[in-house]
Amino acid sequence: MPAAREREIILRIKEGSHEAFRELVEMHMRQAYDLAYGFVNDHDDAEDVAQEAFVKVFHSIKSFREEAGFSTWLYRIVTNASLDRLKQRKRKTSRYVRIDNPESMQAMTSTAATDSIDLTMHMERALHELPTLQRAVVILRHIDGLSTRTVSEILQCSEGTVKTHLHRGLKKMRSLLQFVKEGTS
Amino acid sequence: MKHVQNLMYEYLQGELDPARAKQVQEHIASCNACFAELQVLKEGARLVRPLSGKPSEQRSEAYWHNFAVSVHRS
Repeated sequence: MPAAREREIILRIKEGSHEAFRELVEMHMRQAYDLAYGFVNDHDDAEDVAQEAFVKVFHSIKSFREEAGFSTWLYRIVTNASLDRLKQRKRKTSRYVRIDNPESMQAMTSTAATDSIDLTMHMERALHELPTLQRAVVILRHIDGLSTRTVSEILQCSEGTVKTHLHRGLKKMRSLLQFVKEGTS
Repeated sequence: MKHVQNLMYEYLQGELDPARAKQVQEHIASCNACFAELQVLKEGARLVRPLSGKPSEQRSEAYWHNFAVSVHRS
């Protein structure tokens, strides 16, 4: 979408147009959902997070200064909402298998499923073992394919900090996924 | 040259300027610790890949219509 068109829509929302807001939601809802899913790894939670994010966009659009692009701003809101959701979930109980736990590792690798190891599934689980910032930078940079600079703008930290967390995050992912690394390419 | 762990991510991604990249390359060639670190990082980057298929594609058009309506009503 041309930036000028997006600016026009945002201006109309700032003036109170619900129709323009709906147009903006329709343009970005899949992108917001996919990002949220990368964090929460669950369709219902991704839906809740994406919807919360758009409600927040509507209520705070007047404070959007357009220094960064709208997508970057939206990504920041979705990222923060996703991290909040994960904190809430952690307080309850973790429904994920801890893949560094020997018993759960054995359960996963000693069944017939071993023959059809699903790297994506293991990767998603491993991502949820990373500390918050490492998880955020790995998802944004390596799953969503954003540049290091954009990731730093979304997380409001320096590019150096992003790179440090990327380095640590990738090392940890390699360690967590070591048991599936053989035979993958 | 000191160890180059702090430059390794950029080196791996090809984000260093050519002169700096050459320095890192030369250091890695003569330093077992940094060589080993680079292999670990490379393997980690190889294992982390974009999800096959976007999660949003698993939802129907009707779902997306309702999604926009729900947000609008919130």
